[in-house]
Amino acid sequence: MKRLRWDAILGLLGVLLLLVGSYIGLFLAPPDRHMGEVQRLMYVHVPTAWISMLVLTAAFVFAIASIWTGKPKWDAAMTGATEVGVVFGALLTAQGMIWAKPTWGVWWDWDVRLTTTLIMVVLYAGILVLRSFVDDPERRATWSAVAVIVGYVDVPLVYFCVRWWRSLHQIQSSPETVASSMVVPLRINSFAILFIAIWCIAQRARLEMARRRGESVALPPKRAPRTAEIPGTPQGVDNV
Amino acid sequence: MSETAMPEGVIVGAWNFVIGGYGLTALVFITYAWSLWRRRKASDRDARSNG
Repeated sequence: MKRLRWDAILGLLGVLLLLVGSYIGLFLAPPDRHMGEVQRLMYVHVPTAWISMLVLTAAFVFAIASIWTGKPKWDAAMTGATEVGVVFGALLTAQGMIWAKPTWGVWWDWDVRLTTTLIMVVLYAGILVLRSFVDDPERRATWSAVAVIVGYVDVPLVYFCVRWWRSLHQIQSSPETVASSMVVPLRINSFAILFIAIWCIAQRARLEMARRRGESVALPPKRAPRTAEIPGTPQGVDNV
Repeated sequence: MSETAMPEGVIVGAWNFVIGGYGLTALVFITYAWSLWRRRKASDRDARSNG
């Protein structure tokens, strides 16, 4: 019998927790005093926001490790975390739009929180797209690690902008300001989405490592120095 | 209830938005997981065919 890998167990646990947390959030937690039933979106929207930012923070750390060590495994982990961050960030934006319509009366507003989140998603999606145009694996790793590090400037902005500037979006809640019956499904879904994200990153990183192995097989051997082709050229001097 | 608080159920069709939000979340997770699994299988197949 094939043994389940650690990430598969984590992924399955994530799905199970998401079902339990969503059931509690949808059917057992009380409706919000001001927003009524629509507030139940919080149990998927807020965990998705937390995990998106956490995953992009992991991408930032992997990018530093990739530049520091030059090891392909960190580049693969960074790619995985960036892609998962983009997917979860896009989902976060869509969930926010669904919540905005009944509460703000519009699907979208160029509010500071919404705008910085959109910039975050587009920025990291752009890094993934541009990355696919670079053929040399080492240049691709260095270039995209630098881009991920520079792009990370936007992630703390997404988190703190509601405190620093006037925003339509509410500031962060804490367990002291939220009823305990609402904190439980929020926490369960946060761990659920974290476990699912880890599974996704592990899968995507393995895919990237396999791609890299395939590239090293497919790449032609490096050309001999041009000096060898021209008789009479001193050895070690490039004649470009 | 305070004067500023909206009465419960004031948002018309609130459950439609809730179902939409949860449905979209499930759809994105399932589609992305399926995409990763499919890409992984294709990669394994390529690796086998290349020896």
